[in-house]
Amino acid sequence: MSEAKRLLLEPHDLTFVEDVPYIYHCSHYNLFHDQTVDDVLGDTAGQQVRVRAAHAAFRQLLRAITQGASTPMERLSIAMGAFAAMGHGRVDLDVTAEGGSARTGHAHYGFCWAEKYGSRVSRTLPADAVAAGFVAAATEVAYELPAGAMQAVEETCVARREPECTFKVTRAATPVPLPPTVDRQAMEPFLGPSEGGMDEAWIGATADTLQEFVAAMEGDERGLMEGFGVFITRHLTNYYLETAYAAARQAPESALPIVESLLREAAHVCVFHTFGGILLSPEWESVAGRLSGEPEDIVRGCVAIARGLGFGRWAIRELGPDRLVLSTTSNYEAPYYAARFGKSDRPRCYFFQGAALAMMVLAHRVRWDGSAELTQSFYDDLFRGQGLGFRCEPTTCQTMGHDRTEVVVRRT
Amino acid sequence: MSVTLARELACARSRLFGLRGVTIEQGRILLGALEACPRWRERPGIGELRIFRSAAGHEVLLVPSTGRVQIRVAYVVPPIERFDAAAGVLVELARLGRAARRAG
Repeated sequence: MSEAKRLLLEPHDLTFVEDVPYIYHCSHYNLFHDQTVDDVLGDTAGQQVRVRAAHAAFRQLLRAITQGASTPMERLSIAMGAFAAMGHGRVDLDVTAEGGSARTGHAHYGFCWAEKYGSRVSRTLPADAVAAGFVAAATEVAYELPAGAMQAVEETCVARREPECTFKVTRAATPVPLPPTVDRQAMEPFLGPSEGGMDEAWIGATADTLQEFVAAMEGDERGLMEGFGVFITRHLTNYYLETAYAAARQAPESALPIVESLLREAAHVCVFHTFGGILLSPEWESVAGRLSGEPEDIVRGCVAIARGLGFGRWAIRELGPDRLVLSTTSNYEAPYYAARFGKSDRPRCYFFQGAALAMMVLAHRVRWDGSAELTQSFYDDLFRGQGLGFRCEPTTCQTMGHDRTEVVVRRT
Repeated sequence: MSVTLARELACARSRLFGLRGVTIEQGRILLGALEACPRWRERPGIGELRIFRSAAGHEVLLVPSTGRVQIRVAYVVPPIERFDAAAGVLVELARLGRAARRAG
């Protein structure tokens, strides 16, 4: 991963490695996202969708970054290194073209689930669909097998209080049907002209600094990546969006509002834990100075963070005590949706919508004087209590063919 | 002037500790002491942030302009022992700071 060609599509704040799009998300978002997919599709179907999405996404990545490697061992080595460098965990692959096994003590999802919930909740299903998809893809790419030739099943998982995560790798009796993936070339036609907004100079400079910092982050000895007080992954947008849109598109019409609400809530979780964690970190203090706690500073800080994490060139159009207008011509969701599914009949940038609302909640309902702790119970109070205090209305969306995606957040 | 150790929130249980009460001047002295101490190796930070790592895997993060100091205890330390580990780092930092002040 570190030697592969990374590209920042600078005017759009989108990030790619060898034309494969990726972004940064923390474990809170990752776990909530996966749970949402399973809640909508059911545990079995949800897990299948997630494993296949990860399989396809990692196959795309690994084919791109192993181009110069000439032997299966070289390709496996690159694959394992990339997975660890992305913060997903150091996985040992013991595979041939006929199958084999894989193991890790620190798969990101399983490990973080155990850290977050393990002392309070028992889990019956394994948590590492992403690692399972990676293992299958790495085996295929190493041995130059066709897509879907291999399958991997997680047999033990640290999230189930087992000592390590293990995977059984076998040849599929019939090829596993994998979803298509989207790359930079497919996304670019759907990106609008880059647009700035309020506080553009400060936001742009701060985002640049963050981009440099997170680009230099690597997984530790465990293959986990810690920063800003959270576990972070450098993750494939094809995985997130294939699974999110599978949930939204496969849900019955009557359930769609609930599904969309959950997909937006995943963004609340991200903004609260990741953006909030960044705002409270020494890293942020060194870039932006001590937090003033003024709502305007929180919102513009959040916009810089979103850009820094590769979510796209988000811009503030209007900001007042009761209202935020946030827009973008290059959010990571819309070009994926348009390239993969075509034009939508409804706004589909769920993450953008949820994040905009959560930014206003953080700005106006959190005390940033050092007394706030971003705990799960505080999250529950803010986002699941008596009402958020704000509501978000999408006014335009590039997934519907509009020239930009824009939302208005108003105080209720 | 007293400095206190306060647990800070993190996903990894009980690994982050902030030092409360550090002045900008004390931070400046501590920074000089860490730079001069071979037991603490500097690694790249962000902005003006300075990050020093010990052989045991503990890290000290320092923001010179504000005096903020954070200790990140190595993940290999069991959760129940992390406060003691952070206190051990604090003792070492205090000793380094005193020595640097005496040296002038």
